[in-house]
Amino acid sequence: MRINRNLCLSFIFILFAGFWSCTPALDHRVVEGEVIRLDSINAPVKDSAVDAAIAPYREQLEAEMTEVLAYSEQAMQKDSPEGLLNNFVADLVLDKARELYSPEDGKPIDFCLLNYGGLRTSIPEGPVTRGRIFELMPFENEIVVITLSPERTRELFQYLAESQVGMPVSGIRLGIKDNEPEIIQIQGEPFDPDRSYKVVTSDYLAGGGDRMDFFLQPQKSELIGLRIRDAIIQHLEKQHERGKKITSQLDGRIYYKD
Amino acid sequence: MKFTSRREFLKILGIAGAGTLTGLSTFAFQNGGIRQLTILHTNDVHSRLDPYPDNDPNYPGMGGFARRATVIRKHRTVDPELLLVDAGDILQGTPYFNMFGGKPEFKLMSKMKYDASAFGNHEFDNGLEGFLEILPYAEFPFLVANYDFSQTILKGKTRSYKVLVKNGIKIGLYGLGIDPEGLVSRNLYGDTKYLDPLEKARETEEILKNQYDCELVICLSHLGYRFSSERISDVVVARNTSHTDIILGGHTHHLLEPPAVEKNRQNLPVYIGQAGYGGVHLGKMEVTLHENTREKFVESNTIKIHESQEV
Repeated sequence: MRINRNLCLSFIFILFAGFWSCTPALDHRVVEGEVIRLDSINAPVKDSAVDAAIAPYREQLEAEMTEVLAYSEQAMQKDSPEGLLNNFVADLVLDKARELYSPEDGKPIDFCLLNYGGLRTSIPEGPVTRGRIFELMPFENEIVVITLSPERTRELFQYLAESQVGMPVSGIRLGIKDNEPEIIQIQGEPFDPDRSYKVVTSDYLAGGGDRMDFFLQPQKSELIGLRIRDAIIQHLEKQHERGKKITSQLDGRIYYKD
Repeated sequence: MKFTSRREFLKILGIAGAGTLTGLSTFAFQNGGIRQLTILHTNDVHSRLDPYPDNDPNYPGMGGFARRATVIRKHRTVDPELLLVDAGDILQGTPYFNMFGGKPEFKLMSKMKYDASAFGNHEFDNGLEGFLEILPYAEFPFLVANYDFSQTILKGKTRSYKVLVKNGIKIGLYGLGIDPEGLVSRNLYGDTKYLDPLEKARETEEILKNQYDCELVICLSHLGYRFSSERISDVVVARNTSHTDIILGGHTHHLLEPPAVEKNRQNLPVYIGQAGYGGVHLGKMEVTLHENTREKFVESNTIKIHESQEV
């Protein structure tokens, strides 16, 4: 039965095919697709030539990642409303950005704002390896300087006051009462509602990441040309060269008012 | 007429070619009959030279260039001329990239004999200088029809398309890149001009089809499979072109299994493939060309679309 049906079908097909063959440049395409999972079942053996070609890079990378960049005086964790790690990273990013930033208007960067979620691990007491910094900051985020209007700056502080977690900041002091920014100081001066401010942050947040919408309408946006991770690495290397341990402290830069 | 599956179709062909029907079958397939090609494709590998760590929650011990090379080699024993391509974002994602700038990725892909790659947004990550520096290690071209690099140091270093013959099939490959604005820092892509992908797709497929007489036109795209907005995507390209048969895509990290199918301007199917990210999967398509008939058949089931994200 089956064969008969197939035979029958093939006759019909040939009739059609023969008919179509009078018209040139006609194709019959069959495309089938799948994805092959590259696991130990589909690829039980690793290609030895390719693996051997990776090996020298892998060894060099491992050596590089286990390299101790500096020693830390204390263990640093992120915390809320402020934390040793928050302050450490925000302070060094502000310092580094101020050092590299040479604006046309000559006005320096006022403060730094990063995000809590961007700090992916802690810094241990004692030796800190390059690999640890890659774990702390696996992202390729660039340092960017955003000039904000007084209104947007005000929104930024409102955001911080409402935030459930401690955003890493530097160059400011913020007293929060009932989710409202009650005391705002920038570089030791009270917030001035008549001037704009320069904030150093990551390109991720500048693009509205973590719902930091106030960054989306900047008066100006300028890239420093340095990644946050590289800023951290450079800071560690510099401290080590000077024979210093890295350190951080809590100073009440964000606090809750009773 | 419709066949319920490719297997049934081939069975019928087999019968048609046998015994008493020989005369008829040569009449039907006088222009060489069936030609087949295996296509293997990757995308968004993101510098994953080594497999994922054994304690990875999603892909423990999976992927890695050496595993991929094994599977590619196995396929080459069946189809030595198979087409091997990448849809971009080769770079960035592991410390290998930070340390070596992409050199081992390009070297190993050359060793695996990649035929071409699209240009992903992360190919800009070390700037145009960074890309130019590692480009000599890529023994395959980067195809991008809608980036104008003429005012940059990459002038003449990429191509819009490539024509090649495999298993007697003339194939036209072209590439499309995503708008770098807002996705890549401007200081990295510099004076690269982004051109309308759909316009360039139509222009390039026309050249490949009518000037080069390509029998198979394949787009390597880093636009992304599809978006909820009007944004240009592989689906938009598929629906609005006329000669593009297959789109091998990336960027949105979709795992399309089996390939997605869209109808083009001539109401013919276009097959869209994408193989996740991180080199965990290898996409595969088997193309069969039969002379002298028009319809395209695909053995298609449901489309599994896994979690996707744009990066």
